[in-house]
Amino acid sequence: MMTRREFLKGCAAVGASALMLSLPGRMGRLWAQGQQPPPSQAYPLPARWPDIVAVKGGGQASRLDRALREFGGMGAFVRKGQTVAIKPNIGWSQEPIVAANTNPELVKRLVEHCLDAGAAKVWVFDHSCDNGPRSYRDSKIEAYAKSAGAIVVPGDSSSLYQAVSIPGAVTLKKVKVHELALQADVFINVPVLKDHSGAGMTCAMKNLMGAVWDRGEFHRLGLDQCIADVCLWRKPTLNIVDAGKVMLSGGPRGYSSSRYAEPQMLILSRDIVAVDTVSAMTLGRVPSDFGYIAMAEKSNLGTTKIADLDIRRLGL
Amino acid sequence: MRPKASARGGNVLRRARWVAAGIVFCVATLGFLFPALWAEMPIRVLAAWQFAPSGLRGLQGFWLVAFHGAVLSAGAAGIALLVSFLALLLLSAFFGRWYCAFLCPLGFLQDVAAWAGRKRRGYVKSNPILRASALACFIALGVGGALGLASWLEPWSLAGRFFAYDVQPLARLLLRADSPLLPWGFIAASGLAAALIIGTAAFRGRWFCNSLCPAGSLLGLLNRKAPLRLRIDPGTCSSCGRCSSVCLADCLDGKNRFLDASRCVYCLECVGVCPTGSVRYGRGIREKRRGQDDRISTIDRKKKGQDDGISMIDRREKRQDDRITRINRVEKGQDRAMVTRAGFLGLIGTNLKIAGSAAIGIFLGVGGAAAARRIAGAQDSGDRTPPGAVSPPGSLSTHRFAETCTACGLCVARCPSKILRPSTGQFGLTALFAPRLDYDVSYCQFSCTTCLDLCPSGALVKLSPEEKQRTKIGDATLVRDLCIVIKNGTKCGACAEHCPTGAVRMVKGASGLPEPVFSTSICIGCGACHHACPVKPKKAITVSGLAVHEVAEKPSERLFDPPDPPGSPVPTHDSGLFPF
Repeated sequence: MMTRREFLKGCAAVGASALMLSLPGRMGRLWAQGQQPPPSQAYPLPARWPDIVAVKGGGQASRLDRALREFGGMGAFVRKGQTVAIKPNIGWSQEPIVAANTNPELVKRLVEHCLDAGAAKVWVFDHSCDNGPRSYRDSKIEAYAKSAGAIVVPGDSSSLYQAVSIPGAVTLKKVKVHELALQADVFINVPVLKDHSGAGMTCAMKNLMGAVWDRGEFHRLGLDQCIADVCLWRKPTLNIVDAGKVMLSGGPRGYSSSRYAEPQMLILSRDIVAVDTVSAMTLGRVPSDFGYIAMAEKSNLGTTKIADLDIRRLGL
Repeated sequence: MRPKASARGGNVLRRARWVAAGIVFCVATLGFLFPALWAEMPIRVLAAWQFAPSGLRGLQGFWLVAFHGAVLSAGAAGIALLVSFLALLLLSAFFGRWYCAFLCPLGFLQDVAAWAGRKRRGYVKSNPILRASALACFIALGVGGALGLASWLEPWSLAGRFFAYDVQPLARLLLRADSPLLPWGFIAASGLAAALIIGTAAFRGRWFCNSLCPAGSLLGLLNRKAPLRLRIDPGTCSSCGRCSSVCLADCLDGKNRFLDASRCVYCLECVGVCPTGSVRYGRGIREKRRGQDDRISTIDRKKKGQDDGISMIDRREKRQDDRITRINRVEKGQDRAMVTRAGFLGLIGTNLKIAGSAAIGIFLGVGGAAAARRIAGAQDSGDRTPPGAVSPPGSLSTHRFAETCTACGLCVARCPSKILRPSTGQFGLTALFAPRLDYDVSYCQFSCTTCLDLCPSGALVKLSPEEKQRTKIGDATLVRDLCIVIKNGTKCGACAEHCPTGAVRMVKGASGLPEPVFSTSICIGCGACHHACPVKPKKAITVSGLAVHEVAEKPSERLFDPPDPPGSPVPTHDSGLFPF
């Protein structure tokens, strides 16, 4: 029979081991924060950063405003005088209504936030699938980002890309990435969530494929593993998923017969695996169906165990 | 001698001509060189008013009006095609050959070369034999269906190819912009042609325009009969000859007060230097009874010669010399119709020579066209087009395209995807340089109609964006055994991603992975799948051109809406709840 003392001892042991077990994750998170510069004093720092912030309702701009408040404002990520590279999805020469590209209003608001936080320069670029200038134009992202004061940079010339090696990659050991994604102090990944005929779903991880010059390489070497590998090259400072209007079928380009849902959501996270996990659920899919999510988790890029995470679900 | 007020006005005119022609030239060059920066509208309008392309378009318009005019829309379309050419003809017939001085970019380029060459100019006899044979050869080649060869005499196409294949690549190289490399033969051929013309201009001014250019020859003929044109007023001309030394066309014989109206390009250099303001634009009342009147006035003026404060004897001697050469010339009957027996016979002789040379030109043209077609015919293999022979949307068929495209390169220079590239014989030797779509470079953008909007010769008919998006210019072939999904067992779908109509879709196959499925009926042949297919060295999906373009079917509205498999979660976002 267990004595009272034994019971307390047992409890202490379980507690201690639980603490020990959770340490690597916490340490990891601390290190991840440590890589970033300390946020400026102008913004009150929350006691602890949330793992995922999801905002539902309202408009694109108001969702972003609300979500950033949970982090204590954009100043948490962008320090005065830093350069920022924003990587939206500008893959297609399609109008915003098709939701094949990131919503231009969201990009515009994000640029404004970065500049308000004191960013020296805000660059916006993507390696479009369709013709670059036409995609920049038709997506309205070029006009909106410029109106907010961003520098819109082309992504359709190989001379803009530099070869880097990816330590820890399984198959994609070397890749040519856009020079601004290398150069910028802060790298913000702003995908649109939608169906994808090849990868199944495109969101934060798949969006980084657009910062790369030779996408054919991904397909030849194995799409899922390469998508997971490319995320190892640079961890985005922040992932902002546009799930305002999501394409359920006929992605990524979008057709007149594509089906849509309107979650009216914006999902923010520093964990690229976690954000893709909850995004898959938002699209009505099962996250484990996507090979690249599991592979990325294996490479310690993040976690799919969202039950353990601090998720702030906010309504507007 | 102090120039008269009218002469100073002439210099203003002369300068204004340089400025105006320079602006037009800049519109052309910038339009060709910097398609991304320079708006489309100015170059589109300029191209539409180019003589030879508008003539081709006008012929198509005439055909529409003549044979389909009963159908209102066809008639209206025909008239729309005809307008600029008819206007050019009528304006030139009444107001003279202004076109060559203002609207021709190659003309301006020659003017600059002539100015830079600073050669000692003077009157040079015309060469009607060369001129007639070149014009006849051009027409015969065109009628014979070898417009690609004929276009090597046509100024807009020559200038366009020079800009598109020589200057633009050079500019892009200097700006370090990526661009697909052109075969060196194209760069060399277009550069050489332009260099020859510009080089000649440095020594002989507008020699090309008055010997080889078909537009120059036709407009020259019109100018001879134009009621309003540039003339020398023999009543005031002092025969100083300054005009001859500046004339860019070498067509002014100032000493003899003779202006060859068939060669005058309206550069207005003469107007600028004439000290007495005698080169004037207008109706030539004094010239009504030409020749004799001129001579009488010459004699009259010689009598009045004492008034001039210049050494009389010198001038008189000079004039007598002039008169002798003049009579000689008149007797030879080369330049002016004199009703003397010798002159009359000479005239017949000249006309016979011209007719003979025209016949030789026609013979050469027809022969050249036939030879090119025979060689092309040997390669022809029925309905199948040779690999890479994809003609742009709006060309209707590769055959029609080969016969109507002058290969000016404007669409090549301005294609946003840079997929329009000069053909190297895919459309036959008669249509060398006529652009084809090269899917190894990129693919035709679904919503883009740039080439159709620009084409000045009517080789590409205007299509609305909706029509263009249904125009089937080629067809894809999918080789499943080469496909990455089948071969490697990994996900791909690059073809389906890029397909703008859904003709290639990913459908879950036996392997459990999405595999490509192809429907030819809605494929428009844009080459998106071809370009995107990552398989090396041989692509799994390729697009080849159709000899005759078709209309693709409209994709089904349920193409991407397959019935959901039982048990699959359907997202609901109405409840306001978060799905995670």
